[in-house]
Amino acid sequence: MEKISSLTYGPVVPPPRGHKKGATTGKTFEELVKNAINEVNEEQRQANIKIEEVHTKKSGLAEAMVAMEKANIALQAMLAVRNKVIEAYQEVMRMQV
Amino acid sequence: MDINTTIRLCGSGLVAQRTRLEVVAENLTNVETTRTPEGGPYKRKIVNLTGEDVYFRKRLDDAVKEVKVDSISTSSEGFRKIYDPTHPDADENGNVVMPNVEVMREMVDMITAARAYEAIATAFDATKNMALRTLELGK
Repeated sequence: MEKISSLTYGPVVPPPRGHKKGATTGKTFEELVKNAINEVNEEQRQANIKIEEVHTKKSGLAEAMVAMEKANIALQAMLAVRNKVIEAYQEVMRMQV
Repeated sequence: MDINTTIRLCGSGLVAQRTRLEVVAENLTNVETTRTPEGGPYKRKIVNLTGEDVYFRKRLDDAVKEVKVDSISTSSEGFRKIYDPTHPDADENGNVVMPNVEVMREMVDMITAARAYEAIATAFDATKNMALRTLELGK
């Protein structure tokens, strides 16, 4: 019992002053999300270029389909992250105050 | 090896097999061609494939190789000689040199290329499904 109570009621140590947000990774969460979105956008752009190249006969259908699927997977990955974030947010909002 | 590498590999395979099929189609189309700009009958074309390191993995020991069309060479052996004095390209003895394309061999090549394409497409599909299934783990 002692051990448990020591775990639950342990003193809350405030973070030291001057401790920056996300200083451990050097990047804020916002930056990470922005980078991820930019990467997804880049994939979509590449897919668009490939589709254009199919029309101008510069590359084949297979390349375009591969690029499109790549973009699709990147988008689905981003959506998965977004859903998780929204879920967490809603969980917090549902909290009884 | 991440998902993107696998997708890249499959993409290179699809392109290579499509090229093989294109060349087979060209050979079959020219099975009776007796005149070419270079002179002589049509020469059978062969696709040479080569394995190339996927560039961003070059430094690793377990580098994977994607397939690339190295070159398309021509074979100049085994021209068919048929006797047809009425043919405009017949020589003084009435013989015509026909292309060295064998329809049966081309058909076999065609089936091989088509089946390989199918296999690669299946691998691509499996990779894609695996990636999407991974994302479903979070749901």
